[in-house]
Amino acid sequence: MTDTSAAKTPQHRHLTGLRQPSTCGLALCSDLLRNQTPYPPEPYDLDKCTVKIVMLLHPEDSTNDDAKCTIAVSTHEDLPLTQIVKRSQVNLPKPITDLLEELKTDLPQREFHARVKQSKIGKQKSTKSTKTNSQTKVEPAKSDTSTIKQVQLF
Amino acid sequence: MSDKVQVVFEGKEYPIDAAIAADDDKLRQVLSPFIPAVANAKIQRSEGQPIQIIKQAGTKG
Repeated sequence: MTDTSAAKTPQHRHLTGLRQPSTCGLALCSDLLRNQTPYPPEPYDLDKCTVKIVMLLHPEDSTNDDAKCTIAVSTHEDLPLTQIVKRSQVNLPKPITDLLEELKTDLPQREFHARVKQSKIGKQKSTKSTKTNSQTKVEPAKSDTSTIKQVQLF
Repeated sequence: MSDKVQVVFEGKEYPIDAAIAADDDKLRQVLSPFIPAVANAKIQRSEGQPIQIIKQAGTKG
């Protein structure tokens, strides 16, 4: 038995790409076969489509007295319109400053996790290289024994 | 208004800030949140021509 109650809301249908609960699998498959997005495209109307805004707050440069901020905006799967401004020109709204504060307090933990991850990758690489080295070292030893056996035979 | 440079992606020209377009890494950093394929795309520059961003074929599997 499958639970179809979750696919009843229109929002869920939109998110999962299902048009009708009864033909959900068929609709999704046919959309995928046609290599299209499984949900209808949004209109090219700024009020009726998702607007993506990306802000890059660059760190302060020793050569510049003011840090820069890159702002990029776009809709759909298009390249964005971009602008670089001084950070002092940008007044970030409170929800963003709150998130930045939250991020600031979480950064030491994130740094720790990044270091652990990096050291694990480093260890994996070193074990791989030692394995390959040991394999190459074994091969000449085998050939030596074979020559010894040959000598003993004669 | 800052200087803009034309960048062509999938046959359409887009004006991009010259300071961003001047550097491949900056261009990828700004554009890849919008189009992830740009992260691995080929960026072609030729004198007097708009910058071309060419999507690379994806790997199978």
